[in-house]
Amino acid sequence: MRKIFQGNPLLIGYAIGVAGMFAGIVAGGITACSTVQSGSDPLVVRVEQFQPIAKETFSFVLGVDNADRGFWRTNAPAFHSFCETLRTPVPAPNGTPVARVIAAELNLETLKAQYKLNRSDGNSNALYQAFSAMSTLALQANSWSNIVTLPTTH
Amino acid sequence: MSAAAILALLQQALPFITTGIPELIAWIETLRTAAKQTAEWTDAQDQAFVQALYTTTQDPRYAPDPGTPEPPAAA
Repeated sequence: MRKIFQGNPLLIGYAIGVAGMFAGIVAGGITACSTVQSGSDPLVVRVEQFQPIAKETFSFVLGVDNADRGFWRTNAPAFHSFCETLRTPVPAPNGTPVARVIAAELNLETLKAQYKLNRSDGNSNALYQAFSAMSTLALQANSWSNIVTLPTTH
Repeated sequence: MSAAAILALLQQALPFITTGIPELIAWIETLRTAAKQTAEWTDAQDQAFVQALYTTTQDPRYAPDPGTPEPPAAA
């Protein structure tokens, strides 16, 4: 299982070249298409741009851990503990128990919906706070995925 | 876009690179779709996203380790 996360050097070199090309295309897309349409709230658009990427990031890092939980529990306990923190069941806004990270994403969605209904300063602040907290969590998850998936050398 | 921002993008992409090209492409597509968004989601898009979130509750990646205690009932 470890070999899955120890990339082939040739593949990595090729993939970095591909990633560099794609990053350039994406960067150009971000520069060209970052204007918010008139009538749309920039805060809502930024939150909605962030939500699918955050969901994908959390799914990815949990998938890495799930591939061999015993291995990560033994060899990278802090990483496994972080993943278990994301998975801890907590009540969702509708009361059903869901993984903590899903509850946080649903909470962000609820605050966004409340803000869309009533664009008061209070709702704006609440949405921005939740967005900031989720951004920090997603950055943490991305940092962990960098640490555990970079190839090792022997 | 500044070189620092491009480097930050590449750093985000690194885990997907070492895991596999399909994961990298899926991540790039998500990023590209998000970057092209210029207007608020419609109600249908909001509902689709919420539905996708509830679908992940059945994903084994999100299941806690066996023996994790159940949360207290919501008030």
